[in-house]
Amino acid sequence: MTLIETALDGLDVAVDGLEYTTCGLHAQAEVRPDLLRPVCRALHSLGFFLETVTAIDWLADEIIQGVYLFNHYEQNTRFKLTIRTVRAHPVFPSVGAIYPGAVWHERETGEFFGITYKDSPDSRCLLLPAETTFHPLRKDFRPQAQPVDTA
Amino acid sequence: MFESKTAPTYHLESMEENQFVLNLGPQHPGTHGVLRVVLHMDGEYILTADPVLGYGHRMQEKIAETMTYTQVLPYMARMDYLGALFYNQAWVCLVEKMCGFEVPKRAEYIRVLCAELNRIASHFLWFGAFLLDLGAFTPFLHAFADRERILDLLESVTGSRLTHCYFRFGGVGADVDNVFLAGAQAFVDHMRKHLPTYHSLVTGNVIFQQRTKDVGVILPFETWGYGISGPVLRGSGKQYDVRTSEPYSIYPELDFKVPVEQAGDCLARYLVRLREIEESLNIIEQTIAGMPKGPVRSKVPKIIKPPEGEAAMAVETPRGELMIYLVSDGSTVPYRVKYRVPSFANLSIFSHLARGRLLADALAILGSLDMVIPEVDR
Amino acid sequence: MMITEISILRTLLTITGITLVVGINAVFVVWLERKVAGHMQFRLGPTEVGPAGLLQTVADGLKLLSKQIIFPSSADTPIFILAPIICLIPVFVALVPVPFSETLQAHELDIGLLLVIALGLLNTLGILLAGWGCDNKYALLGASRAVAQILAYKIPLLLCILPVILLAGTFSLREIVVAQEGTMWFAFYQPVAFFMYLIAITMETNRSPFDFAEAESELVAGFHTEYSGMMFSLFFLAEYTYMFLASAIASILFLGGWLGPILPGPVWMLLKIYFFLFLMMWFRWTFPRVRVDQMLAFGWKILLPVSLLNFLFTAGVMAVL
Repeated sequence: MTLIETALDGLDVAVDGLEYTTCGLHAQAEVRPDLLRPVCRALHSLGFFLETVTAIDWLADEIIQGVYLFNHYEQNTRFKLTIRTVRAHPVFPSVGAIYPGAVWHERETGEFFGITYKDSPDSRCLLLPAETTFHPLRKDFRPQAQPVDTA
Repeated sequence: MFESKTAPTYHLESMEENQFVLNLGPQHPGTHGVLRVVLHMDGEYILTADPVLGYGHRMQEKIAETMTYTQVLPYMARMDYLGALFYNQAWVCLVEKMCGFEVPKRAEYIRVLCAELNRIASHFLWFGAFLLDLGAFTPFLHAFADRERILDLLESVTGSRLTHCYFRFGGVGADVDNVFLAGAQAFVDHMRKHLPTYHSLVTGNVIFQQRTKDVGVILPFETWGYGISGPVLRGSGKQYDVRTSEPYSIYPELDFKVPVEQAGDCLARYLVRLREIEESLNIIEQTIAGMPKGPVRSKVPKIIKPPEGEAAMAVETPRGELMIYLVSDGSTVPYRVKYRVPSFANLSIFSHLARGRLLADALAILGSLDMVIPEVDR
Repeated sequence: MMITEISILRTLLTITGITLVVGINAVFVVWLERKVAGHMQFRLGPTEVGPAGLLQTVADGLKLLSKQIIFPSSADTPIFILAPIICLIPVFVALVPVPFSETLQAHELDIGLLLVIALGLLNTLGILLAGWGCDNKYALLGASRAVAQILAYKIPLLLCILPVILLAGTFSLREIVVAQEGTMWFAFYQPVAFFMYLIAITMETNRSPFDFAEAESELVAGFHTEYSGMMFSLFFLAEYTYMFLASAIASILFLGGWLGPILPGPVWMLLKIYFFLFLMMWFRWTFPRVRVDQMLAFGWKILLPVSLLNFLFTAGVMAVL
């Protein structure tokens, strides 16, 4: 907990501690999208690694929530960072310049949810074919309803 | 100009005479699974390496959103068929954590015993495949002969040789008997005598050392930028193993070391994995000796309905840290499941490592990263 | 020289004899390789076809004969077809001056050794044509590696043979064996040259640990990726015949050819040849592959200086004595 506080000292981020034994996360924080890169830079400088970049589609609230899970090699601290934006055309800033490994995570999350990562070094599809026009992990995508032409 | 979402086109006219594009195609003896790497080469040197994934993509995360928690369990083993029990463990432990299920002590011991056997089997297959990539054919067969013993043991208890679906919520599927325990102990004794053969056949070989020393060096400061974990990370000097950093199951009670090498090259990763086999043998011996009596499964409700919320669970697979992040909305079906697989992060550093190297080195690096492509593709 | 009936008969006998040697050798040596591989790998190898699996190669040959020969549409067809033939024919011809005993020799040539070395180079030409002709980048990579290999082994190979020529005083293969009669075999006079010659012929015949021309795990199948059916088996045949030839030269130059007590000459010759073949098989199933640049470094930094020094030393000693 203190490691995160040290990292985010000076940034306008409210960190909530979580009960690790029941949920496996030590702390979480929600930030504005424009604060994402400074927070990542601060965490990277202290040696936090990005476990994953993913997203959750809250259909009921019309929101797509980007989830960034960090951890640390020396001091086990699982930290969840979330940002949110509207569901219609979600745009998040890319952290590919700070964490090179995030590029692939962003490519995957982008194609699954239809999120555009601004200034990403590489925004091609990763797992889906390049011609895919739908976003499978969105809650309003029903697999059986849309036959896919696999030519 | 529209933003192209397709692969980069290589302008062959503007390339110099020695440069060409080579497809380390989806069908290649050297890629472990259906992986395609588009190599832009200058003679035998690689200028850029661009992995193309998705040949084995099955949209596991969407499948999990349409199935109940129990129905998702067999899918776990299909993601990483070499380390199926670890995926089993991650999923059942995650749901147990969210729902607050208790696991009997005997079940925990059996879980660790079978998981460590699985780890050794996975490392044997990696050993054979890695050396096959380097051109040595014989160690593959020696490794597989020993791996068969493990597969026979695991088959007798889980029912399958490869894609085990043995763990259940609240314990394991069936109890182990004394025949199994005796067999596991016999295997440990056999391997302790046999492991020096592996070292004498391979590790000291000059050609092998020349092929793997200082090849594909991952410097310590590069590791957290890519999220590396597992033996790849421990070969670069970082002591991070989920079993000791974030202990789960009965690992806190067991006495084992986490091998770490400093060099960061292919040889270091190789040595880490071989030492991990030795440590796993120690763990197996301890679990056999300390196996308590008791039930192997606690009573859990038939319909699993975790409370609304989220949870994360990490386990140490042979390839690195597997973390599953689950968001539940209180229903019988997960709301969102994210599989953070170790090979995904480990593969993302490949294009950085392969740049400027010879093709033969790139394949050695690919082999030393130990990837299972179905888990990368999910 | 007049073409008499006897010389025509002799020519026909030669061709038949060499074809028989090549054919029977191929059948036997492929079986031997698979058995050696099997036993080194905890398994048995072929056991079904024929006694102890001896006819396995015949079965495989029949199978390959029946396979469709696929011509890639963008391949250069004349070169594509010519490549395996160029790999095979020179090795046939190179077996002409090789003596299996004092009298068992197709044709005595004063410069027999030179002919064998020169014809050996055509093998690499065949590989290069194969790599170029099939319009496949993997094949081209394999072929260019084979050409780079020549740089590494050819000069050390020649420098290892030169001391033997100095000791024997002739290029004729028969005379070299005769020169070892009564004295110790040249392997004892020239241990360094013998050892390096072994390494050089392993490189020459594209055998592990120097088999990058066809590196299976990297280049799919290297220069013969696109070949199927009988054309692939021609490459196979050429490789094993070349190994046979290289072993024969090694036994003639260093182990006294057909010389040996009790047993007849040809038997000794065959024993020595198959000893070298077994060695090459042993290498193949034990060692990983060397990298191309490491092989070149090894050839130029170690093989070449050592063999040159050995040659100069031998010449100096012979001048003194």
